[in-house]
Order: sequence, then structure tokens, then C-alpha cells
Amino acid sequence: MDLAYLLQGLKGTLLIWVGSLALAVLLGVVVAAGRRSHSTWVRSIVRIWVAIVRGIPPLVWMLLLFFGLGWGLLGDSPIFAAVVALGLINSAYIGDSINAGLSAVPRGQWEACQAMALPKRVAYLRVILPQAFPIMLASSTAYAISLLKNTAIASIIGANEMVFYAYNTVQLGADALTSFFVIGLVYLAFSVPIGFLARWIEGRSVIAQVR
Amino acid sequence: MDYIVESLTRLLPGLLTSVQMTVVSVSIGMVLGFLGGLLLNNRHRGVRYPVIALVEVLRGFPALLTLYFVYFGLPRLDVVLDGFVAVVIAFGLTVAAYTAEIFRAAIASVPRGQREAALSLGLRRNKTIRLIVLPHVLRVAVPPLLGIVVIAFQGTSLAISIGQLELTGVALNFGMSTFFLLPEILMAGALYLIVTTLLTWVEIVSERRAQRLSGGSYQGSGRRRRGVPKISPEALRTTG
Repeated sequence: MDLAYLLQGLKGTLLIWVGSLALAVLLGVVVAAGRRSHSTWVRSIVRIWVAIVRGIPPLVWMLLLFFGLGWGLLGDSPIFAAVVALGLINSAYIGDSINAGLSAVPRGQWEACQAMALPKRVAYLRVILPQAFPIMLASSTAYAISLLKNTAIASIIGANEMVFYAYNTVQLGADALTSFFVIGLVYLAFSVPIGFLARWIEGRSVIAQVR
Repeated sequence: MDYIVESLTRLLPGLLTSVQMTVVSVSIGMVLGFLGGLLLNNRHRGVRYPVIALVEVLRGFPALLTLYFVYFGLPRLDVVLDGFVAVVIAFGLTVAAYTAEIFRAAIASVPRGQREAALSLGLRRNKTIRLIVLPHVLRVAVPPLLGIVVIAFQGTSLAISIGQLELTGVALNFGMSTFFLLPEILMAGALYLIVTTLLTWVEIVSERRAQRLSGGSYQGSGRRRRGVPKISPEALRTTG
């Protein structure tokens, strides 16, 4: 297993991961806002959108964006298609964990903000978000880890990330057992520390302690 | 309209293959997962730690990587596998790792007194598990397990990477050879969406039922906090 090859693949994996994570958080805020909207219309549209996004497997999303729509727009770069596909799918999950984090803040906190006539922006920034953030972060990291693993699917549409490189070296005669296992260890090297970090943040969260 | 009918006659056999892969791998996975859950509750560290390591490795690997590992790796050990068998073994193992964690929590939630009562009645270990532990476990574990089924079903689309003609494979093959790709993939996506939505609906119904059976105490009461954390299957997504 060539180390330079592995590093090249790691670059692709990280690119897809960070790109789709950023897109997922951006769109996730929109999804969360839609979930909390007062308008029944907006809420129903968001609910249907989330069901569609989640109901179709990541690979099918990628094929759809890369081959189906892609000849002109996304077709040049499988990495870009993978970023958009995974970003869309995970915006549904991240959106729901943002929403859950906001809902976990006790009602009394919202009411206290109102009673003190805090402007909504100040209430969010100084009171609600500091309490909701650790909870959002804890559940979002779980999705971030599964997102990291889902980047492997992009190898099927030809994105040059780790699994793609490993697959090619195996086709050229490298030992399959060690090649794929080493790649797996790299995934673990990312997901295990992040998992620990998430548990640590959750443990420090004020709301979790009060409960 | 004609196109839809025509496309369905092509895609439905593929969907059948996907469903078969799901059923077999989930069956293998849940049996292994239940055994894993029992072992994870074992008193002896010497038993628990190796199982924890195995579960963590299988959960940390993308499912696609496990599939490649099984399909391309095992032939090096002179075990040559049919594609379908490789899919079922690889995804069966992945499902086992995820369900082991669910079963572990569910088994830990069986009140001590239940086991002690079984012991004092002189029930053997096998009977205690079958008659006392299992019914309790199934009640709490069914909703999250159904979530895993949804994920496993979507995960079968990865089998295309080793040339299996499941739903995605059939759609892509036809689309590639006719340059009629977009409608065909849209149809496949719609079929995935329908099955996933039905399964999710069953999951929601079973969750309500589980809450009702335990007298509403399942949601957020002290019992849950002690033994059964709310296990969100989405957080465990295995595909990849």
C-alpha cells in the first residue's frame, strides 16, 4: 500500500467531507427555521422535502446529480456532485438536530426573555443558543461521523477519495485485505476521537446536567 | 404513462433483489446482534472487551469498505464468494454491529428483579433469555431496529459496486445503455422512496405501540434514563 497514494485519497475524502458538512449546516439552518415556522404551509413543505431527501439512498442521489442532471452543470466533477448530494441529505439530519437543540431549552428561558423584553436577536444570541449549542453539537457530531463514512460512496461515481484509490491499487495487484483494512483504520482515526469529543461536550452541557 | 409501466417491469425484479438482500442481511445481522448484545452485558471484561472492539471497528468502517473487504479480501484466503453472498455477509456484519448496541441497551433495561425472579423459579439460562429477557427486549428494541432495516434497505444500493443487479444496478445499466438515464434513475429513486416511507411509517406506529405497552413510561421517565437511551437510528446510519 503506497503511502503517497493514501494521502492523495485522504485529501479527496476530507474535501468531500468538509464541503458537504458546510453545505449541510447552511441548509440545516434553513430546514430548522422551516420546522419552527408559524406557517403550516412552510412546515408541510419542509416535512415533505425532508422525507424525500432521506427516502432516497445517497448513491442514488449522487447518480442523479452526476449522471442524470450533470452533463452540463455537475457532470465534470464527481467530487462536486458528491458534496451536493451528501450536503442535501445531511441538511435534513442536521436541521433536525438544530431544531431539537432549540426545543431542549426549557420553556421558562424563552418566557423569561420575553418578560425582560429582550429583543429576539439578543435572546437568541445571549440566552437560548449558548444553552442549545452543546446539545446541537453532540447530535450533529454523530451525523458528521456517519457523513464521513458516506463519503466512501462517492468512489462509485469515480470521485478520487480513499476507497477509490484503495480499490485501484487492489485492482493493480495490491493485497486486498491489508489495503482495505488500512483505509478502514484511517476512518477510525477520525471518527473515534470525534465521538469522544462529542460525549465530552454533551457531558458539559448545562441542560444535560440539570436533568 | 407507458414509460412508467415499461420502466416498472424492468425495475421491479431489481427491487425484489434489493428486498431479498435486505431480508437476508438483516436476519443474519439481528441474530448476531442479539448475541453481541448479550456478550456486551457479560460480567467478564475478557468477554466484553473483544466484542466492544469488534463492534467499534465494524461501525467505524464504511459499509462499502466492509463489502470490498469481504468480496475482494476473502478470495486471498481461498474463500471465493458469489456477489450476493458477499453482500449479505458484509451488510449482515454491519447490521450486527449496529444492532448489538441497541440490544445491549435493551437488555440492560430489563429490571434486575425479573432475572432474579426467573432464577428463583429455577429457570435455566436458555429459558430465562427466551421467556423473560427476549419479550422485554423486543418491546423496547423494535422501533430502533426498524430504523436499522430502513438504513440496510437503502444500503443495498451499494451492491452495484460489485456488479449486483439490484434496483440501482438495473436502473443504471439500462440508463447507460440507452442514454435514457435521468427518468430511469428518477423511477428507481421513487421506488426507494415508497419503500422507505412505508417502513418509516411502520416504525412510527411501532414506537407508539411500544410507548403504550409500557404505560407511557417509555418516553422520558426515570426508567428510560437508567437503561434505555433513546436510540436514534439516523445517528447510526450505516450506508457508506
